[in-house]
Amino acid sequence: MKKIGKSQEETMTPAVNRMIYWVIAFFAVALIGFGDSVYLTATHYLGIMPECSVIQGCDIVAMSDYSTIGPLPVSLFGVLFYAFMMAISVAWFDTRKPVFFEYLPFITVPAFLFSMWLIYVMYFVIGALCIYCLLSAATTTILMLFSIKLRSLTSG
Amino acid sequence: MTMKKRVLIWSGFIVLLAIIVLVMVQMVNMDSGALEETIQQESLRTEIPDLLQPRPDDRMKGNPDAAVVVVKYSDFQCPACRFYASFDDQLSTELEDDVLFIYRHFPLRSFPFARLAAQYAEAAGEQGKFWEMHDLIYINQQYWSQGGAEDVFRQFAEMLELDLDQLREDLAHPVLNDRIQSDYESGVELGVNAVPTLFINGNQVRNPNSLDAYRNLINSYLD
Repeated sequence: MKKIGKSQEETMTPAVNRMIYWVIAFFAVALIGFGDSVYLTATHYLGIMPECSVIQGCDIVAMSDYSTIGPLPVSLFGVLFYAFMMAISVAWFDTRKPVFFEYLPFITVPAFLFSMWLIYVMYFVIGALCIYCLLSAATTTILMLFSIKLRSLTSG
Repeated sequence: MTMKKRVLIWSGFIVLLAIIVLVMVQMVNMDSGALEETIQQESLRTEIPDLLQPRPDDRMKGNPDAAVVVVKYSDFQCPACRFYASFDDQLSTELEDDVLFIYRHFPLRSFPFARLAAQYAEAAGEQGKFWEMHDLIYINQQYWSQGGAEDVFRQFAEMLELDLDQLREDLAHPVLNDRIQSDYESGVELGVNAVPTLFINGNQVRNPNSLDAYRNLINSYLD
């Protein structure tokens, strides 16, 4: 196993050099998204009650029906998604196999579309904006763009 | 890559995730952590300031002579208020002899149907069904908040078998609006700037973040 890994590393060297920064950036963005969704999930399970103040809107979004899928909070899916994205990056660092990035857009593009739908619901149906949700939409968008870049690097 | 390095990378990754989870949970706990330290000045009912004394026209639930009086400034369209409405409902059943719950209106301008909901609740109150209307309005908050609120409230009135002509008359009566407005103004005077705001025996308390925390808070006044 060690031997195979080494030979791949050698043949991949130029691509690996180009890719390494992209993968680090990809990992960093996923890390931000992960922290953000863990925070949202924690607020859900620890039962924090935001109040509605005269000046600022309350957390209408987090309390709406749309914040859960069945019994699970939407943010929990975010936690799993970002953890998986980070795991893919680590797996690449571990094995340096391009295969991890070849199929990545098949996950990140649907995730991006889902995120856009959530923004639509948040703004047009619930009529409120939640900053943590916007941050998550931003990280998902960046991950989607990076994953396309990474795919082109592995095939190019 | 050597096996040792691989183990190191993956275990480092797992540790990183664990640290982030712990930090975030800690952050959320800190946001609400101060709750547990709510300073309570033990106060008897006699020491409650006038504005927070039960008034004859207050909407109340529980024992009028109870040792603990909870005054809540609330808004029918605020999602957080919906949760506290269910907490109050539960606790007033559990502690009916020990606590008096008072509901005061504090409709925020940012909620388009909040005042209308308050008016319907008050009008139902004129026919002795304030709490029934209150419950229906809160339980269905997410439904009527999206629009057509007045039609929904009218249906509630029918469900509660209210005299609809009387209801219409009461809704148009200035006394009803004056009552809501006087609740609001008393809240402003007390420094209320968010809903729900809770006062227990005259002390403004931080909103408990769960039913259990709320129950414990009330019990601490009963001891």
